Amino acid sequence: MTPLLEAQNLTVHFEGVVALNGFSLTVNDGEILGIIGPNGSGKTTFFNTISGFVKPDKGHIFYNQREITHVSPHVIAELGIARTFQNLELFPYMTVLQNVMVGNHSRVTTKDALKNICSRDERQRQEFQALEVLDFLGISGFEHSRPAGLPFGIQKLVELARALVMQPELLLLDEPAAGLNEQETMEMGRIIKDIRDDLIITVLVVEHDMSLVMSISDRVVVLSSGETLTEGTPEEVKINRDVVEVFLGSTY
Amino acid sequence: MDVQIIIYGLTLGSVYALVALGLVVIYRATEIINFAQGEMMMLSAYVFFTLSLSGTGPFLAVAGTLLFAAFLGVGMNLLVSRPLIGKPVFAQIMATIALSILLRSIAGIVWSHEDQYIDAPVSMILQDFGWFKMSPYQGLIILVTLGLVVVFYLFLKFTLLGTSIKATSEDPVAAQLMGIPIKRVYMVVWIVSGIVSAVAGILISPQSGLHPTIGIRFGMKALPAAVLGGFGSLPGAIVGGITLGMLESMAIVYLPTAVYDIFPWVVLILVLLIRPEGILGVKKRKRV
Repeated sequence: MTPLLEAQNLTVHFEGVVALNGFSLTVNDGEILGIIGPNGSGKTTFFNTISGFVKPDKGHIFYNQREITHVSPHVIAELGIARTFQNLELFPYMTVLQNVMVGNHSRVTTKDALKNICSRDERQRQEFQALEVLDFLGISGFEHSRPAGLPFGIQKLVELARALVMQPELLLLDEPAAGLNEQETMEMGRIIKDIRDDLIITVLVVEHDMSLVMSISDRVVVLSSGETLTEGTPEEVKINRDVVEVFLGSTY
Repeated sequence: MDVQIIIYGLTLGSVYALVALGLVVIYRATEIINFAQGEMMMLSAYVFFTLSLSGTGPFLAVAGTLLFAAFLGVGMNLLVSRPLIGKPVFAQIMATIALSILLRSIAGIVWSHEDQYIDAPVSMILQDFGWFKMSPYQGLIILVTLGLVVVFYLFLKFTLLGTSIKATSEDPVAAQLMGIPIKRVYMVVWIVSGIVSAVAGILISPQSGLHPTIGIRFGMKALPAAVLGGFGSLPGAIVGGITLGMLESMAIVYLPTAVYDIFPWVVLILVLLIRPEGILGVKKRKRV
């Protein structure tokens, strides 16, 4: 398999606290890769480093063989990396449809933008595309609502829809199941698999919910104190003594 | 109520609305309250005055002033906004107040502290239209403001750049992840704000005369106007500006001269006490 994203020896400090400590990771094209680890192990920092919000003190990130370590967040989005957030980051005063249509932004050139002003067809095409994604995620019918009034589970899917409209190659999901009930979590798992299988998007997912990660991931990486503790298939990771110790304590 | 009060209020309110629009559009995108907004208006008014005197003709004078205002916006973005974004509000306020004093002093040094006058491009003499009287100049102010507001609305609603501005002002982090270059958005916002303020300066200077303090006397009323409309709301800036103009127009007629100049500030305090979210503003909910 060809690597889509390669992180090499990433080190990130926040005022003396080490968030990532020489962390390396390869994401292969077409896989669902799960990252698990206790709170403060550096999972979200890793996502923020890929997205360009955090610049590492050391190390490199390559995406499609191109170095993106010091590239701005909006350029990284244009290159085909989309993400969702642990705490929702939706545009509160826009409707669901408007929120999702902002996702078109990364793919629209200035020429398209001018066409967009002049032609109603172009706007309709973009709107149709956004509605299609909402339909794919099973949240049709909410397009004219403001996100704040919707159930949390739906808001999470709206954020996911906005990322999907960008037609990314790589999707970063930061705790997609956080705040969801058991049934919604199962549904989220099914959706993530559909995203990879039907839309052919590589998925990197950070999650606390073990059952979700273990059921959807092809590979799991365990992060602890900014370093890789172990990695392997979900079955291999489940029985690893070190992992059990990190998550449950040494008495188990 | 006398129709003349309404017409005068509309004229005055249009200028307040434009400067308030410039103030709010910056606040929405960068969360900086620019206390030097009135001075941006004042400087552009002086540039228009100088260009007009140099005999370039009114169209070139307007074009030159708008170009100056765009560059002023770029300068403000690079020297003021960029270092201040994300800094404590107190630092932002002190910095922009200091800038307003600096710009007033510079204007005084360059153009003197004497009152200067500029002719209006059209007649300022009231013409009788039957049931009301209005000067072509007043008509021009109202029409230009209306036109600019419509252009502004269409720009925000139908262009990709408009969507970028909205997205950046609502959530800059998410906006970047959608591929929106927010630094470029900030630049555009400052340019737009500079141009809108310049238009206000060009429109008001024949009536207000030119003096380094017109930024405070007229431009700074954008602040109570914006608060009255609902701080942070763009339609609120327009509604607040016009409402404040109307109220002031009434105050000029019904209140003693000494009082009416402080009137907008009394309105500001009353709004903050009674309805802090303003006419069109939304009550802010804190995310926990």
